[in-house]
Amino acid sequence: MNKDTVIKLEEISKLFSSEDVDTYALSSVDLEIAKGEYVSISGPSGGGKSTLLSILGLLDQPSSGKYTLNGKLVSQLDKNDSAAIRCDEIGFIFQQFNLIDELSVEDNISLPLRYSDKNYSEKEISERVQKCLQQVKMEHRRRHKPNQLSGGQQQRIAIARALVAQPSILLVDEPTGNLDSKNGDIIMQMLSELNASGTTICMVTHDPRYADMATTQYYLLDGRITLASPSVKEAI
Amino acid sequence: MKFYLRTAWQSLKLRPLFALGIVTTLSITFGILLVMFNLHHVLLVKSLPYSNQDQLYVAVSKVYEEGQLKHSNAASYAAMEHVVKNADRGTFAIANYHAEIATDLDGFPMLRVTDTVANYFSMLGTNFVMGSGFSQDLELNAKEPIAVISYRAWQEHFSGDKNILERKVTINEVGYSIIGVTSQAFVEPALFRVGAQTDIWLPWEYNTWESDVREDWMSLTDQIKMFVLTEQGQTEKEMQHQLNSLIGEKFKQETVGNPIIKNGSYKFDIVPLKDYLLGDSGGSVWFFIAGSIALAIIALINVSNLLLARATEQQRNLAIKATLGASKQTIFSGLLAENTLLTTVSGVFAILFAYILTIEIRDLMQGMLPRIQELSFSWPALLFAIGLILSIGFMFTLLVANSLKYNQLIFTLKSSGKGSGLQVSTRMRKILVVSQIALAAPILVATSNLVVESVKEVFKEPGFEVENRYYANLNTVFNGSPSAERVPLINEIKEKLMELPQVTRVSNSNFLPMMSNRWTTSLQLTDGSNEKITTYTNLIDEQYFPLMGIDLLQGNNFTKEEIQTYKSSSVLINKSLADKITSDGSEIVGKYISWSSGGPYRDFLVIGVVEDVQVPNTPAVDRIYPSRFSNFRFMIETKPGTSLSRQEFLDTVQQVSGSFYIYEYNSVSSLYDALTINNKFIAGVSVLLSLLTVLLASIGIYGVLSYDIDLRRYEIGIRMAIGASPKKIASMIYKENLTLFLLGALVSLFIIITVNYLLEAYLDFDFNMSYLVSVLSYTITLLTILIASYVAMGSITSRWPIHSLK
Repeated sequence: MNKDTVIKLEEISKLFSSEDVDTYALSSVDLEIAKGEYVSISGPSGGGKSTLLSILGLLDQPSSGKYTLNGKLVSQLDKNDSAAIRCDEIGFIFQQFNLIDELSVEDNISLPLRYSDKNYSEKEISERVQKCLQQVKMEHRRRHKPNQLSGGQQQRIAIARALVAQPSILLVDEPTGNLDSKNGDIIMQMLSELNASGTTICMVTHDPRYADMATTQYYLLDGRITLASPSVKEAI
Repeated sequence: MKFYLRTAWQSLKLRPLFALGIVTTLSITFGILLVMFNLHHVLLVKSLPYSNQDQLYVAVSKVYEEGQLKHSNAASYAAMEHVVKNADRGTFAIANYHAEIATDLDGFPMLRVTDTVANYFSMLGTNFVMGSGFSQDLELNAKEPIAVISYRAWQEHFSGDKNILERKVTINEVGYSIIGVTSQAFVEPALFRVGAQTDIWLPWEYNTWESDVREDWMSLTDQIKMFVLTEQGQTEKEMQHQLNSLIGEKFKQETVGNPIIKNGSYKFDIVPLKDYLLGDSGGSVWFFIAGSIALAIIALINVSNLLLARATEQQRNLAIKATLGASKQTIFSGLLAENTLLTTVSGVFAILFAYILTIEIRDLMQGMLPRIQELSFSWPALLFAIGLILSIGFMFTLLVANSLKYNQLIFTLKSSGKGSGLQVSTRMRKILVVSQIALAAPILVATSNLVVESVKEVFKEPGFEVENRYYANLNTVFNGSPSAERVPLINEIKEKLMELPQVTRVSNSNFLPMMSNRWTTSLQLTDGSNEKITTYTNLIDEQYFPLMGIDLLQGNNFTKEEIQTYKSSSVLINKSLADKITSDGSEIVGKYISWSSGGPYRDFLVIGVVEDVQVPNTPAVDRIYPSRFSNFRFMIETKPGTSLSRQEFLDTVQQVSGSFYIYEYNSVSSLYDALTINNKFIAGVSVLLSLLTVLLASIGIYGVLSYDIDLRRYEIGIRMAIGASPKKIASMIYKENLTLFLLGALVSLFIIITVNYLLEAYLDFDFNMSYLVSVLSYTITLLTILIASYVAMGSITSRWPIHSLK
């Protein structure tokens, strides 16, 4: 594996079993994402995008296959070890923003640092939160509660929270799904700037316009992944 | 409504565990509440079954020495007769309670006897199945040996003989002609002892008190009671004044120079019959009521939690109904139908359970609570139950309906269920948990303390042997013979008993160690202070201490020779009395004390000191043990693993004379157990309440915590997604719930302190609380919370975060 490879999936499959039927959400997926890369994954609903993102984000375990993150085999880690990696190496941005309603903006952003085993000091936490707030241009809203913010603002806070632990990769799930086009554009612009400054991004999106902003584009259909060639793009 | 009820039934059939949980919780707790309501009604509200109950009072005797109360509720025979003969306003009845053997009935049964006057029956408005009561002209000096028997005695001892009025019953060699049988419905006021019901009423003049007792104004007994019927318009105060005027001066004149009392006075308290019968049982009833109400509140909180959880589950269905056009009213009606169905079924089971429990309690608590034989499942209880069921069903519906914000129900569908269609606020959920703890903890603290206190009494080391020991009291014509004639008979009985292979020791002594209050005498210190000490007295022989296993601490026991001479001037005393006499720690053995058993004080040599005995529910008392007893009472010790039956004992003593009958024969262990029956009952009720509290509180706490965590499932999923490990989630949940526990514990402490203060201030009830037991109760509550939190969050933290985010 190349030393610049952040993520490497080999033969990853995910099987969902019900009483009557077994369904493969992912089938022998191979994927490699290099440091600094901006990857988009597109495909129709039910194609396996969210399942893939869950496995990449260690929110779920594959049924088979190998997943290596920053050179470490993570596909068979237990829940506690997976949580530690999610905390320090993965930043999540969700379609529903997923901020905690009871907490203020700065407390929401600080959560990954507080969950980390690295025992950050209060001062360090405060500095990092401040820096991230500046990065997403939301310093003036630090003491607000999420329900006092617009959708676009909430997503910016979610980006700040994803960045605060300086992860090696950002996993982004339909970041503009709950936003109007103006706010959607702002968020996408922000992600491009982050990538330009060296952040590795893997994004799941329906929107071909935003998928095009990625440096590498994949297409996921019936659990199988392919590089999105011009013909495939056309089909999308 | 029919449609709503049908759909509610169908919906509940799909959730059998939910319905079962609610029906079980409500029917058990409301069944108990109904029984307690019934008990409260019978004891504290219901009128006595006597037509003139408002005019019936008990005259309670009180004897004072130098203005200080010395004896309460112990009457002087002479004083009682004096009042009955001389009072001119009101009607009076005196009753002497005892037990005697009917020597002409099969099996020589012991009958509960009440010697009384004719007024007794007329004052209580007694009805008779056959015959009548005593007629007025028989009154105090009636000489005719007649008797009235109870319906129960008629059935049990005379097999309901239709010719009963032609029969006689022989008691103490006197044949009494039966002139009446009380009706089955007649409820006798149990003045002597709770639950004690008379078998046979005999004329007052036939009471067996000796002439010295009848004439000695300071010969007091708790066996004689007097109740009065005031005239129309005569007040309690007027009656009290009349009696005290009659007795005041007379008592002083009669007791001048009596060595037992100095400057004595005798007064009557006029207590309404209803209050007298209730005694101090009101406190127990209020305790049970408070416990059952608290249990019911816990149950209500539990059911509220279950209903809120159910509403969360139903929110999508409700949203669909709202989207289809169901009005707020329609949704309310649907909820009302389901809740009414649940509470009605629970109510039916609660009534059935209460009915069975009422019958069981009536049988189990005979002799423990007054008027318990009047307990039945009454109309007020049924009306109370129906009112309760309907109001609770409505209250639950209001609770759930208020939690639903109708306008946002439609939005629930849009937000794919990830929104918060059911808006049960964090604050409300916290209030539910805190109130669970605040209510459960005081009940646990109170019941566990009661359990510990009662168990302590039940298992208290008595300081004497109770196993393989028997106590017998014989009834015989020889009781009236001079001592010189009785002693050889007693010796012969002892020898015959010792010939039995299983018998190891026989003692001829007056009382068992736990019969501490039967005979009180006085001793005077000879240290110059002339201070008098009241002591409990027991006449014993040389076998008493070894047989009862009471340790001799100093000096010697009586010798056999000393007992046989019948002229001993020695006594033994217990440690408690020795400490009182020699407060300076000097040796008491070998010194003289001045003792009187009613006559003048005589000097007695203290030859030994024995260990105190511990009697359940009784503090250690001063005891003096003079020697030689010449009545026919025996204590028998048998070898371990053997026994001595009543018949075997009777056969043995009848070898000495056929005129011996058994008046009383019991194993010491059964008499000792009887002393702790109340403690066992309280311990039993408390254990039941504790277990129910723990069970209900656990279900409730688990319910509300799991409901709370379930509502937070998505939020917890987010936290896990951004890096919180299961351990960190657990730590967060524990921390939050511990805060709620502390808050609940604080509120519960406030409740405990307030209730304790109120009990002490208004009911003079000192609740003896152990810190250790209280801390243990809180620990149980805390453990319940920790376990409930662990189980509730386990369904989330044991799975991958994606399951919570779906």
